[in-house]
Amino acid sequence: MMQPVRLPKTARKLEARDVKNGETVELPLPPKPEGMEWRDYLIMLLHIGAELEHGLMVQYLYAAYSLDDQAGSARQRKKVREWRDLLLTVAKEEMGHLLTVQNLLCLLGGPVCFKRSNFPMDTLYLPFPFRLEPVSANSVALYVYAEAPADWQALLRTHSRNRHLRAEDDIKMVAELVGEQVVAGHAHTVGQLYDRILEVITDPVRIPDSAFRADTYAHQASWDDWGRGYAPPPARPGETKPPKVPIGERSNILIMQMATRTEAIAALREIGGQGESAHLRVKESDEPSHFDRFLHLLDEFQREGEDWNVVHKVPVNPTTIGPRDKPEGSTSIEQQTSLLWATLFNLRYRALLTYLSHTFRLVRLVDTQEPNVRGAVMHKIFGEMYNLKAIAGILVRRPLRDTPASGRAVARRTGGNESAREVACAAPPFEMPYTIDVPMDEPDCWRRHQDILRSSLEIGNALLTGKDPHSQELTVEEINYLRTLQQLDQKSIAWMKIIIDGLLRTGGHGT
Amino acid sequence: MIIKALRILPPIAIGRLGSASEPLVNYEIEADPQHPLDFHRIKGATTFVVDSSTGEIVNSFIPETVSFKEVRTGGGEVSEHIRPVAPFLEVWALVDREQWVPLTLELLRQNDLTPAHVQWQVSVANRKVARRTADRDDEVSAKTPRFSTHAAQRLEGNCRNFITADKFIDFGRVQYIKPTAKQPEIRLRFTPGQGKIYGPKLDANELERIYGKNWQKDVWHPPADQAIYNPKKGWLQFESFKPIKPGKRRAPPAKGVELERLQARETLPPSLYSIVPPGPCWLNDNVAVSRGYLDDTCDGVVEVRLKMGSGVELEAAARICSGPPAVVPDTVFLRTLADDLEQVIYGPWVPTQETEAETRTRALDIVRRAFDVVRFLNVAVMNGNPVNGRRPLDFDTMPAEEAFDVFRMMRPVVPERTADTLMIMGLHQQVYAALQGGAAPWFAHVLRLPTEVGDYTDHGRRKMPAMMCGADGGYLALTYRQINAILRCSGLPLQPSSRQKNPDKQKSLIARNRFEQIHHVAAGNPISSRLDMSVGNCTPGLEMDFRAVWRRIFEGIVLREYDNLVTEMEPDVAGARLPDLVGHRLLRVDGDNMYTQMIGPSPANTRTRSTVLAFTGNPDGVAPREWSNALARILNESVGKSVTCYFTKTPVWSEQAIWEDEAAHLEVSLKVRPFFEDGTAMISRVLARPGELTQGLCSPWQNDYRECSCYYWASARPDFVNVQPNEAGVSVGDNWMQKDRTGDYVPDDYRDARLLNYDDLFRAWEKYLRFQVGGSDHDQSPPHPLSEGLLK
Repeated sequence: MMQPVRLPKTARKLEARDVKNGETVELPLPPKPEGMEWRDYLIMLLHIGAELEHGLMVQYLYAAYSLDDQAGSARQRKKVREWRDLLLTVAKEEMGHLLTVQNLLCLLGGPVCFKRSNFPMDTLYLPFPFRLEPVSANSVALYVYAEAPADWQALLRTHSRNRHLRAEDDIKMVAELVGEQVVAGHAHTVGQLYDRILEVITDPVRIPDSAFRADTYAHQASWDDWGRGYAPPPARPGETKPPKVPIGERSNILIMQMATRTEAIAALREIGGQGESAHLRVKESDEPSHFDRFLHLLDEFQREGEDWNVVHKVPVNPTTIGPRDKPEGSTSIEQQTSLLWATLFNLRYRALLTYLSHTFRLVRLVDTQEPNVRGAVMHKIFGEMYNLKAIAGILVRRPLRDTPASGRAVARRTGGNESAREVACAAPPFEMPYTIDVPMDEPDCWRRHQDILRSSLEIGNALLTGKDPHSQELTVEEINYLRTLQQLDQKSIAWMKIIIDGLLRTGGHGT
Repeated sequence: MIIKALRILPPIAIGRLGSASEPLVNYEIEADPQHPLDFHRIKGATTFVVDSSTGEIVNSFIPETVSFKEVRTGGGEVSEHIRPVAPFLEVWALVDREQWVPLTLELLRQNDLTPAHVQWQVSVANRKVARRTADRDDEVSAKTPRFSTHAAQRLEGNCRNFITADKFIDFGRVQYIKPTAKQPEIRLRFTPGQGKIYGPKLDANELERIYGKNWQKDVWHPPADQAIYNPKKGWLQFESFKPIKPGKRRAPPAKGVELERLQARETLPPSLYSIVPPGPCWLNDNVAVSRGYLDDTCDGVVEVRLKMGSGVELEAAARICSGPPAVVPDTVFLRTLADDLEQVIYGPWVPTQETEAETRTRALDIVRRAFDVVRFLNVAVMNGNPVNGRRPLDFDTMPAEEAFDVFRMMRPVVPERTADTLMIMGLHQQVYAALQGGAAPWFAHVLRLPTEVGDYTDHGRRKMPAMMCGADGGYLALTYRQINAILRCSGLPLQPSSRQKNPDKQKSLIARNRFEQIHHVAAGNPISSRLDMSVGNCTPGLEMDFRAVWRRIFEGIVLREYDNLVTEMEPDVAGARLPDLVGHRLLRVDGDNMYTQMIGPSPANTRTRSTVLAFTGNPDGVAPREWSNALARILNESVGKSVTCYFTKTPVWSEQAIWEDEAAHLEVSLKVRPFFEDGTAMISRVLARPGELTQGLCSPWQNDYRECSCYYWASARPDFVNVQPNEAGVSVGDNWMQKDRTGDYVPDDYRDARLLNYDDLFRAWEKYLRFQVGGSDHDQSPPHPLSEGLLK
């Protein structure tokens, strides 16, 4: 196995001859800040890991939503659906990684972390700057790089599926696509971060056994609670191993609880293995890694997808902030109806993250053996995932900004007019709220949820009653969705009121 | 216009029992577009008022409210009477340009005919007792003469084993509605029985001998006019596995082949009849001694004939059946008989001519029905959670059933902490919302395939629909056609692997036509008379046991309704002589196994993570598949053709068997019978004779409401009602079978006096079975418009 060449601190330009020579260019991560305790450092690395997993998940989701599986020939639609499913399965698995990292944080007594920066351009640990962008060869190459193992160039040779392309060309192409970041000196694979975490956590001198809190096991996220059937099926009679399920059809969500250092290391290797390379995994697995899958997608997309016109014209880094104030590198969603939908999307994203934070708090307050509000909040998290899916689907069918014919043009497009495809469309902005921290007292947590839902109701009302001359009217599907969502929200608000009243009356749950 | 052919629509109509003086008015259910998650609204529809003496429709009206019960007061007593559902059957005629039009006075006149030329004949039967005793003299049947008059024809169910020939079970009546200028259509109305229970004629000594000294305190016994069964015949004190020896009570157990043959007569679930207390039998050493009860449900055939001037007699037929009331009139169950019949019509796949929008609408409807049904399940209890510290195995639930079936420890289906009715319902509603918004279904991987009903690993038992029982006794699966609607919207390959050929235009037209027929809405008929409101996961069913339709699907043999045992050979089969296959088991048809193997979790093998759930008596862990899904592909591809069937080489009466290879089994080529009669959606009379579609049901059906918990048909026999969240955020409510509504759910326990017991139901089922509207007890029964004089 080829060993990666670890370069010194100074970055140097990736040369074609390096690629040809099979050398790997990999910049080291910054060292532990001086004076920082190892446990604290490890928790910081895990926070970075959580942000990273969260960021990758969102970018993969965005990429998946950018694919239009209603366009083109039947074969093209089928293929595009496969690509979209591939991106979605990886995104779901990143969700599992994110939860496993939270479990590690619980084990080490650190705070859980569901935050991420909006458009981080310059952090020292990311594989590439966070960028919500449509699927392209360039973006997929970045995903390949992000999920690449240390010996990625060697693996690339064996994985290249295009017999007409020489492996070196593949390597060169991927390397060149991420070259700019390498040159800037702050591109790292996810694997590098996990390598560092493993390096620290395996060392009993730096992290003593006493740092691991086995008693948090019951409070950690479990596959039983969160997996939702996303795992390979058991073997049928007569089979010696579980049947193969096309990877695009089913994610294998790894959510591992852990009580010991050994289990923590195993969990890190498992999620590292799922992301980068199957051979790193503790358990034997035929499942292709994210790296393999993205490489496969890159090959296919380059071969066929680029000419197919199957990607929605979604912007890079969409934002609900107006053109004057928007962050650099982002694109304002200007069309008013689209903007309302994008705001609704952000609200539901906020609801999801707030519920997530709340579950990790609630687990310490309820009897985990009986039906309880934590279970209800967990179900709501899944509900919000469904909302994000639905609203993202609506956004990419709506215009980004007003044009003289935008409303009609997009309307025509949904009717199958190919020429309308040129209209730039809106997209899910995935903007982070000002906070996802839950308040100190339980009744206030529920009030926070109610506030978010009430805001959502207002946006829904604005959409249902608003008259936007530049936008096509709401479709029947959109109206039905909003009405159903509003009814669900009203019921949730009423349900939360009963809980709040109970808490205030009994003084329960840290009132 | 020349009449060329006749048809009765709908091809199957369901009557529902009740003793109220006026039948249930017509109503429809509809979603509220402003509040899409609410229960369906019940909306009155055009209702006919029939003068029973003349047979004329004397009035029609649209009721503002729908009243399900009639409350009578008199003599200081209040009695409740459920309004029967009395469906109309319309006659349609094929005329010029291949058009189907209602047969009316005018059309008859154009063909020089009058209403008197229309002849009706109705045959119905109740074979529930005969199904168990195998004594044809226990068959209760009624057949009218051919009639053209408009007087009501009583359906008097006679039986050789009644005490005298003049005694009968009142199955209700049929009436040829007299066409008038205002209502000129030709139609017949079926009014079912009142829901009476009949039984043996016993004197006080005999009653004491059977039920003990103080029997009058606890045991209900049929009043004199309903005590008509001859106590010397086999049904009284019948026991499933004991030979019937009239005159000798409590015969000794059978042995050997005799026992095996007796076992072959058992129903699924077993011992579905009222027994001498204590009940249920499975908690009392499986002692199930029959009380000898019969009910007044029936099924059968309505035939209409019209002798044309040319001498040609046109004929058409339809089926009727009677069953219990639809106690949740605003909710459609997840899998109905309409779903199963649609699968017969279109096959297991999504028809190629079905548009994506149509498929999507169907997928949405399935999700809608799913959350409507979840409302009535106490999910925590049905999941197998302990109830107030009591062990879950003591309650009748699907995971408990599973534990008993495979002799394994009981496990909850999903983590206990996540199992709650309102929470799970909310999640389903959120799925519904996202689908409404245009999202493609993403949950296809959690749908249970019909081949996975025996998968008792957590992976399998958590699939959807969860916690409910299917027609095969395993976890419920939807029909392939339902599953494929969702798979198609998800872009996933259809199941079973599609061999669908290019659509044959003619076949598509016939299919479309049959679809229209089974969904035909006859004027005046409430939705509860239609197949859309009848449970399709027949274990054994409430209105009909759909499993029975498949018994004669292969020419030459008769199968048991719930598994692959051959119970009879048909005497008259054209073509090659068949070997005697009685007692053999049908294992494989055209490459499809008729069974699945049960698997469970394996802590030992971390690679396969499963093991076959074998045990003594079922060494291969085989579970038979329900016919409706198992034969869906074969029926779609091979009607009228011969298919290759493999049977066990020798009779295997009581154990299940597994397919090994061709050489190990008996290969027989059998022809697949048509399911429907020519061009119609009438289930073939060859497949099921009168009484056979209900013969597997409980006798009397009231017994089943005590015995079968809600995991069979949550919205037809609900469990959890008046549900609300409490301050802890979890669901609280009442058990539907709870006598007093306290908001404190009483788990289903046969020995708990707070719940209705068998004799409560026998005595006053109309009082105790409370209708649920909007998820709550519907106790305010507004008066029927007729009793208020609103229409006079």
